[in-house]
Amino acid sequence: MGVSYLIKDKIVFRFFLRRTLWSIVVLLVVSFMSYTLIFIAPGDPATILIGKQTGRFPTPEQVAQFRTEYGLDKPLLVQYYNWLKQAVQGYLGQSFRTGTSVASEVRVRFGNTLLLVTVTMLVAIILGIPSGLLAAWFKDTFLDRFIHALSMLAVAIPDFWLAFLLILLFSIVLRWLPSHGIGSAKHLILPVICLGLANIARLNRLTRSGLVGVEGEKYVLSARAKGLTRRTAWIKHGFPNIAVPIVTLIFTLFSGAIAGTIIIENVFAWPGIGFYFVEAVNYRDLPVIQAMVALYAAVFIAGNILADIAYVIIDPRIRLD
Amino acid sequence: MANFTPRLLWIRHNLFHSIGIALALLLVAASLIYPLVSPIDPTKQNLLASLQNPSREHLLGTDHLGRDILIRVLTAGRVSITASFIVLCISLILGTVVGMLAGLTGGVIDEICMRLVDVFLSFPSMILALAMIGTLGPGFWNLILALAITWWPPYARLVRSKVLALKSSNYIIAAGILGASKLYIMRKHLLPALIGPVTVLLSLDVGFVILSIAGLGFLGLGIQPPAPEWGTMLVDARPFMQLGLQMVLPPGLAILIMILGFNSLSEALDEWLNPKTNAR
Repeated sequence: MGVSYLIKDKIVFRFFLRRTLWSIVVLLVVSFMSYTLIFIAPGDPATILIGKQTGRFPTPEQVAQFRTEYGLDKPLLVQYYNWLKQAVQGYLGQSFRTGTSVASEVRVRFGNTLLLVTVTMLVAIILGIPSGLLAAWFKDTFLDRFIHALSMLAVAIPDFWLAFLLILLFSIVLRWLPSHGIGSAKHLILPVICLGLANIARLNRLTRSGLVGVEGEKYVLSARAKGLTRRTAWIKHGFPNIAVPIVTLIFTLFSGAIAGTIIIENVFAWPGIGFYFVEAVNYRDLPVIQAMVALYAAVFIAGNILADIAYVIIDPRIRLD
Repeated sequence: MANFTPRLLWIRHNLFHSIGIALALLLVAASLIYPLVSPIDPTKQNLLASLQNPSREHLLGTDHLGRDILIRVLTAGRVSITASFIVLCISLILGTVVGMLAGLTGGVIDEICMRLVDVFLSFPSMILALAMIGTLGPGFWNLILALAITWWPPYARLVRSKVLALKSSNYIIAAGILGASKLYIMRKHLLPALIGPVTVLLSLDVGFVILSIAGLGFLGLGIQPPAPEWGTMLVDARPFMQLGLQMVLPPGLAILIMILGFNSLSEALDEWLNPKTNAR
């Protein structure tokens, strides 16, 4: 026993080492791709920005000075290397538009986004999995079909449209909930509903189809024929079998929710990183766009690694390759 | 599906799916045909007739600038459907080429292609699309480019996995032994076998590409005004929500119908193509 555990630990360790190295490669590729965006941008960013700041067309000297100041006169790879060197030290560059450092802006806003996404996922898990259990238990009844129809609707409703309808009902007509901003638990309710509805539905569908699938397996049928109750069959065979796909889905949805905040934060004026990112995109603030893409990539890769760790913990049979 | 009765049965058992599919097909047909035959100009303003309720003249009423909402929703649909068609065509071609190449050659090329796909799949497409639009500026072709570049990787992965599975199947091996060239096998055996699974994914994606277009339009980064677009129409509607729902409901419902209908279509196709695995 002890020996086999040692071997497994070694394999697990090598697996994570490889995954981590691969993640670093992905991060480098993504950040490089986003860095090269500046070179395919139409128009010279230096000219545009000085124009925006001073309100008149810049002289060549001004452009040259700006380029030297931001290091834009060096070759691409040198620029990228310099950027990377600073990024590793926590300096993500500064906004062309406002001059503030990206890292300090992100530090203020990241918590807000994380709060929104975490609450959304908790709500999705609390509502999605039990409703899936319910649908599976009452398979092919009216309740099951009703939940199916609801979840199909939930996936199809555009979140920004739902946001408008909810704001209209709860903020404008009933005046129960604030329509935008941050500050209290009440501010969370509408964004969480908009962001979470589709996730509830997806968790619901997967839970139901997983359990129904296990119940149709021959070994479960034979166990049931020998007198195993349905409840015990679920606990012994159902839950262990659906655990891995559900955890996979939760991590996928978590990434999706972070991407979803980009629109939802804009609807509800929620001061998170999505709001900041769109603002940068609107003003074509390239240093911020670059830094944010790299940051998002880092967040998603961290999520993938966490998912891998979760698999090893919940499923002893997992193949590490 | 030899005779007609099972299909009728399917419709009865999947009423919700059937309604969704029918509505979406109706919306597609109306969007493609109505703007061509209607004499109303979707961008023509008439401030004297702004924010009107539905009437015989304006079936869905008018918006804050007095433009007819029905023709705007359908023209916007035309643009969205065209855009998503182009995006999906590019994704399909690019994905099939990369997937085939990776699956058939194997080795280093396979590794490189799939790692590239992994990079794209490691984070949501919306972010890369936004970054590209932020760099290139908004516009129809930039939107197409940004979405196509982020949408092909799942197709490459799907095609590769199918090719790998088929490559070792007996009939392909037999064809090879009989002297069929790689190109012949690809054309006669691999591509036809891919049509089914790829169609399921394509029909699922139609709705989501349309959602992405609307989302980008909503952020002001998609198709630019005065051309009507579902996302921008919703943004326009926000200040006038209290005064009436005629501006808020149609664009949102249109997106909803497209996603619902094409999701249902995808589920139905999947069930029809894989009757065994889905028989529960």
